[in-house]
Amino acid sequence: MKVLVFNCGSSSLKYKMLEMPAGVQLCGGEAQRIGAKTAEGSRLVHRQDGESRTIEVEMKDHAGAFREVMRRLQADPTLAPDVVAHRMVHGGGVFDAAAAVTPETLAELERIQNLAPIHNPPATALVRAVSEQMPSLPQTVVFDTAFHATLPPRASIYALPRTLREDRGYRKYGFHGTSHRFVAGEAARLLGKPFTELNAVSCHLGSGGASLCAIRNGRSIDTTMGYSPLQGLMMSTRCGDLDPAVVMNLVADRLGDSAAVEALLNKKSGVLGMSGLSADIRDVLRQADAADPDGAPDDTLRLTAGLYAWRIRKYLGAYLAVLGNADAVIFTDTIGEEVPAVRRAVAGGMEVFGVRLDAARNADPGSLPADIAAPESAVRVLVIATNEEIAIARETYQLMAA
Amino acid sequence: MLTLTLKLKNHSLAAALFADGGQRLADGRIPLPGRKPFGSLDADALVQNLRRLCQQHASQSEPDLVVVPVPYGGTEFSGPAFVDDQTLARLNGLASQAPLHIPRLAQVLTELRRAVPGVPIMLLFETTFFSSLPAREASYGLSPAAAPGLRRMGFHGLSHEAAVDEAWTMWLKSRRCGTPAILSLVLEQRPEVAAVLGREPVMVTGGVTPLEGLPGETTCGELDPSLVLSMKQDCGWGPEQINLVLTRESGLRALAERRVTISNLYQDRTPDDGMTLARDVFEYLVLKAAGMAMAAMGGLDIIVVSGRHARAGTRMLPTLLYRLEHARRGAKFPIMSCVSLMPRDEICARLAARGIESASPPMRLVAG
Repeated sequence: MKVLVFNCGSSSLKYKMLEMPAGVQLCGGEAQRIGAKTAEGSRLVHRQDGESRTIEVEMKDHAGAFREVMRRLQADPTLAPDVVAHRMVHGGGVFDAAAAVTPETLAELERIQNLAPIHNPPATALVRAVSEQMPSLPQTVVFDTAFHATLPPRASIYALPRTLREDRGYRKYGFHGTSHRFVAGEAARLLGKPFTELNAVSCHLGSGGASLCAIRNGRSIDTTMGYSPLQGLMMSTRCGDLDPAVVMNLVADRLGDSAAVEALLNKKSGVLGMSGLSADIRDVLRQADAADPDGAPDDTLRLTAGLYAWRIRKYLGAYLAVLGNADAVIFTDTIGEEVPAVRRAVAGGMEVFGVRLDAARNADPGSLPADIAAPESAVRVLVIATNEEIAIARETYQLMAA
Repeated sequence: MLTLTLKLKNHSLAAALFADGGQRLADGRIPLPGRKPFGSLDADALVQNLRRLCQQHASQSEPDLVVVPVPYGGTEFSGPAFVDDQTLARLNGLASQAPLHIPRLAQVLTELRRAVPGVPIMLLFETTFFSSLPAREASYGLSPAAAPGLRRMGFHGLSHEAAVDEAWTMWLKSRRCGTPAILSLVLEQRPEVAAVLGREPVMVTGGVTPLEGLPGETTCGELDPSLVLSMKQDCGWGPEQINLVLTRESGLRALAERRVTISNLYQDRTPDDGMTLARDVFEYLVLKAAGMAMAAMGGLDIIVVSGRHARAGTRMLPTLLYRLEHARRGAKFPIMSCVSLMPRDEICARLAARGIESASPPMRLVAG
């Protein structure tokens, strides 16, 4: 089965064609600067058989981008998709699993799209465009929130009045679910355990967003992101956890401009806001120990790096306490896979939980997946490359096969 | 030394009289006569009430020391302070940061000085215990320009400090070596967990305000920051309404759907769904905070439960200990624990006495 996976950004459209169930990538690419109103126009970058081709073509919206992608694919008869799979960030309280697209599904997607106002609307528009342009092509939607549908009430509920919790849907949804589920599945295979018996803490540390997930018997039971991706860890530009009173004061200081505060907390805080240097923790780590001419380390950068790792470490401890008998800690995505210093700061000195890092393996895990725990560690520490497109394609394949 | 502890209430001072060694002689309420909102106090009536209390229960008409706990000292106060003109000026400088507490307190302290001019008045701040919190714990992920000087304060510092004393007593009796990793759980109206290595705090659940962290009897506790903005945008609420909901209508009250205390959660033999939910959520968040504390300290040796609802701790402690022991792997010794029922006024008296004894150079009891 050829699964064409789409991952929508506000002005981009990434795609991969995967042959399932083997998971072999046949081609991929990205439509960039969709709806561009600047000197540099839209373009499509298509990759196939080791080659990359860039086509300058006007794409006013995601419907236009889809048309151009299909034009490239239809030029090769071997690339006709059997199904289109869409990554959708937020499924609200409606979608707790991947879903086939029907008129009813599409209506629900349009109803809930403001739950993730940056991500959901373009993805939903793409679903509609595919429905209109190729009505006979099956589609599925795979939600970042779905893996966390199993959060028990004690983990998902905020201590707010019922009207806010239930009528307004103010509860913890969690994100990165597709990735957490994927790496947990890989971890189970590596450990030789059935997925339904795996207990692990998955640490998805991306160059943008980051979250941890506590997994018991293969099910998500808690996660650091909340109602929105803002809660939890300090991230590249997001502040993470914050005293609610501080948010109220920030709004008051800005004369009630909540949009400005939202932009501040989501786009100008985190590693970027604290360091003043970069949103990428790798840049901060590189510079943090660099001495100035007088030999003094940069305190701001060291504090940024310290706080970044500290938050992750505390949540790791929280979830290891909740699980009680974890099989593994999993590091994934860009920072989790590539930055030994972060793994060391997070998982080093956690022997109380039975976690013992092997310093040499952590410094150089080799090819992934890798086990960087010391042999005597009761809890394995795994570094696993995430692959959300494969995960989406797998869920789609299972859904179509059912 | 005759020590009088005073805690400011709405229309009175909660008073307790202690002899040397912390022996409680009396406690009661001293009315604040003639007090109107923002009005002046009747200092003569106040001194008469104070003297009556001392004369009834001790052989002197005035205490040797008055101790007053203060909810907030900001970054201005990093330790106890005797009340004098300078202290009052520094305290008044904090008025905008704690507008519900500081102005009233400063006014009462001024009148108290007039009432008993020869008696030193010591202020103990709930926040000073956390003044040495490491920067990575005290800081938030905001740019300094957006929120200058913002830091996690922590609250209930006096209770945590007393809990650490209890923990050290246990530690020394156990004859174990090294520095104990202590978890202090203060069960008050707004509960708080602190992780203390030796005597140094390394983590606390309270934030810039007591709103952050564990849910209180009416306070929301941890919350996605975006929800405050959603309340404004989706619900159309203004700042007063949002503040009212998050500070008075959330927490255990919201979960149980009626006013409850932490003690209530453990008194009901047949709890309904709301009480069960409130207890489940509360215990779960305490467990997570304890796990954070273990990670912050790299271990856990002692748990001390204290506060007004400490007795409820005897009900929740066994499960908490079981869960934490289960998460610890290969530990040589079990986690020690105790429940401290020492009332807050006695905590203040003891801390004040220790502060005077251990200060270097020694503190002189001189009225300001």
